[in-house]
Amino acid sequence: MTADPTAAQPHELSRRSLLKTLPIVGGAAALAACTPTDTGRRAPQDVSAPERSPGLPHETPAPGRYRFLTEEEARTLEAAVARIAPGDEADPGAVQMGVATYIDGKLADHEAFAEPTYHRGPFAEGYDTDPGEVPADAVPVATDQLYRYGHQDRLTPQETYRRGLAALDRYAQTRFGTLFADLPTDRQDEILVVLDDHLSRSEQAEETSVGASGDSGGAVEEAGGQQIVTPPDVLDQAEDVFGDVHPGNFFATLRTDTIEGMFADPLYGGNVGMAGWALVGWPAAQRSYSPAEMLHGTRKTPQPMHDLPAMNPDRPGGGRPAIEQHQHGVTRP
Amino acid sequence: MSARRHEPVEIVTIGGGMTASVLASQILPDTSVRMVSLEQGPAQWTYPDFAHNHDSLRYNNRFAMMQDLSRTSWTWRPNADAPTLPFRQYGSFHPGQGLGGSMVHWTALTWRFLPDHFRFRSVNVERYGADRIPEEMDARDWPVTYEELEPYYDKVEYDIGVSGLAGNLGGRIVEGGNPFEGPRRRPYPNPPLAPMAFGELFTEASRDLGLHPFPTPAGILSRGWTDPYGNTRAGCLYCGFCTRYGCEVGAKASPLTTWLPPALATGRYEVRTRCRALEIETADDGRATGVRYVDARGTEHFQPAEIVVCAAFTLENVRMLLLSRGGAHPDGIGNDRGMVGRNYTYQLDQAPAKGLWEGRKFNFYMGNGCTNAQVWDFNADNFDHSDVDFVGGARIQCEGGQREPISSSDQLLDGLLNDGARQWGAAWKAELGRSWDSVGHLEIEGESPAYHGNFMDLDPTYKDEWGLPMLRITFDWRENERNLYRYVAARCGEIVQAMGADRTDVTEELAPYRIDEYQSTHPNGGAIMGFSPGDSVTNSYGQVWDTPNVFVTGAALFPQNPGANPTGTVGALAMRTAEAIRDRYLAAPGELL
Repeated sequence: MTADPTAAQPHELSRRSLLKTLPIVGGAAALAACTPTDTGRRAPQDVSAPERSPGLPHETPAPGRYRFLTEEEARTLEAAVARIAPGDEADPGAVQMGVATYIDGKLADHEAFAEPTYHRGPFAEGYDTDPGEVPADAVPVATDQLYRYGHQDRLTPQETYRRGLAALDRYAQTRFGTLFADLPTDRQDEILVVLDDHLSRSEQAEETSVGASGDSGGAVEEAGGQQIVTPPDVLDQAEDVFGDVHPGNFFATLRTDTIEGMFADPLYGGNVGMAGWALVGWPAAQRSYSPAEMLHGTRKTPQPMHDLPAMNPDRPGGGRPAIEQHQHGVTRP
Repeated sequence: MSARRHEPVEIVTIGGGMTASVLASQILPDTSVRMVSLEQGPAQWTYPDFAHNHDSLRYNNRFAMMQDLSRTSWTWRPNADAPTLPFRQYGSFHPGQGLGGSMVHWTALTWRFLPDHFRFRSVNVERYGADRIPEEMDARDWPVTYEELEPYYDKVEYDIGVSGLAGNLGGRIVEGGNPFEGPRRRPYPNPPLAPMAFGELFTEASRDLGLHPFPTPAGILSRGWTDPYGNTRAGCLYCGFCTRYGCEVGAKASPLTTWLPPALATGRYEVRTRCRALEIETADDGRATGVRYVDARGTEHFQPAEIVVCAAFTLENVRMLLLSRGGAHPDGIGNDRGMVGRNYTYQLDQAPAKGLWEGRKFNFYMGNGCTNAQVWDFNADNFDHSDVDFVGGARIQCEGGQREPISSSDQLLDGLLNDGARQWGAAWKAELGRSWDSVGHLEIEGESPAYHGNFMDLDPTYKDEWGLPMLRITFDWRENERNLYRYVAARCGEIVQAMGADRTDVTEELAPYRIDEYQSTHPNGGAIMGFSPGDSVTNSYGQVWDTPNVFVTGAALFPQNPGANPTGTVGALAMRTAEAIRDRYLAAPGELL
């Protein structure tokens, strides 16, 4: 598919804002008549269509300007994501790709959650031996079963980061007497290994108990879980220091958000210079590949989604009939 | 607050997705029937709504096409003695919302179930004896046969323009197709999608092992196509943004491309978007009178109708029956004999084997979820079960395309790094850079039998935004699935070896079910079809035994789930129901037997 150069234009206008600029003549009747059978040129392409949530960022985050995080928090966060995906100018990592800016933008844009989340109570509380040890307003769940239920956090992401980053510094102070960002990288790695092992422990206990009941022998070896090197008492200590933030889950959040910040469209504030896409060799958003490209590869190079050639069905050969649809009858009371 | 009462219509459906559009397109054109569908999500169209949706963060990772969990969700527990918690964020399955429903964001594998699938109990009893069916399993035959459904499968395939290679034309086995499929009257309307490099490797290796690989039949056009309704559609551009996105060129079939246009053109079909059904109301005699619902502003409405169809996603259909507890049905519609919610089944979707081919690039980011190949040699009863410890089977497929780095990087290198290396840090990042396009998976989709202990009911604790109880799912894998998985995973291990991977990782045992990991959007059952009111919720037309002017469509009707994606069968059953309502029920309302 070749792009129509005349169709290339900025896409900042949303359909809604375009409608606002139209003279209101005939009101609803005029809109109702605006079916695809009209041959007139349609609204410019809109990267935010369809109008569904979650939407696009409220503003494209600017590197180094934090909207949610404090400077201190940002410094801790940068230090942590730098160990998850290390890099330098020649081989960009999380820091060079603007991952902390991405995470700050995600937190600033979404007071609650960036993805659809059911956040009504009651919430779960883990117990080791006695369900009676959890508060009366919580659902008691055996600690080694909790991972099977997925996200059950009472905290919002803003709260998780606020408390989790503080906990990371507290833990660094406890172990090595200084803030996380001021530690040498091998010490920082030692701390992240503890959090990673805490995550593994929370997901492996169940497999042990299934194996022990005799109906799934060998599950432990085959579950793909990684070796835990941290002694149990050290994991327990981390849990104590982290308080109401689950150390393993906080690490998982950091890692997931790092990956998002490395590979999401630069519009979201990370993936600076499309360095994440260059790392893995992804041409990102393209309109098409040929059967030959599927077998033998492509020379297409990445582009941010704003630069994706617009679909314009009205250009010659644009395929208007193929996407014309009868829309009358779909209403919104 | 009194509800705003609308003009009566003949048919109202809860849900404006696939089966609603099938019913509307089959019933309205040749009758004077008026039909209304209530759709919880927004209106959306191929153009312009999907014209610029290549945003993998928003669609693939933040689930912009899916039901809004902040308003309503489902709850789960592994068994009846375990605590229940809500499904707070997307994991195991992805029901969609918006005009066209989940079929707008589907992957588009389009199957006919096998003749044996419809005789699941009989086949196993006849061949291996009644004691081969575990005590805890509720194994059933369907109240329809493959032969009865064949014309409707054919209709669905030609309506949506399936791309594939027939394996059994009227009993003649065709080289290169699926030799295990039931006989079909004619070939697929379109040739298979273009192959990818990984699929070619899989095809060669599995053929060398004596298996029967074939290209995946897809509800995605391999070439331009004008369907029987006159819709003209473009062929697939293999852009790599498919599952969880709407198709920008209409190559991926959906209600938007196929059934909605002829239905809306009658002028007697209305889809009310952003409207959420609250309850099916019933009269004193137990018959349904219509649907009470709420619009986007919170205003309550009542739509009277002669026929009410539960045409939403499986889980919401079951919930709606249970929520409708009018006078004659104190436990819910269809539930007079306590059958609603039983036979909840899922799908044994796992990726047991992966390999790393050093230095090889497979272009996994192109194509879609159907540009791959697979074998059905270990599905259903296609192989001798005399010496194995399970019933049923699974299809094995190689990974297709549409990879994007956010969702794939999380677990891509699990099991493939050197001992002690972690899935983060310099070594992980370097290997991710080298091998992101060099690691491929073998995936299985296995049978999910029904069990007395796996079921759905209304949650006693958690409520949705409108104060109504959410649906509670009680489900876990059982011994039969663990044994089946172990056997099929070993076969995947053999294939990945034969494909010449430099490094491999095989997960030999099935871990306990966890609801946070995506497996498939195939939760089935709960309002199953059967032979009599004592064994099921509906007859073979989806007509509810105890409330015959209520119908259920979709996979809630499946007595148990075969090792294949449900959409083809959901479509065929809806076609059959539509024909029966149009040609028989409307003239003489009553039980369709």
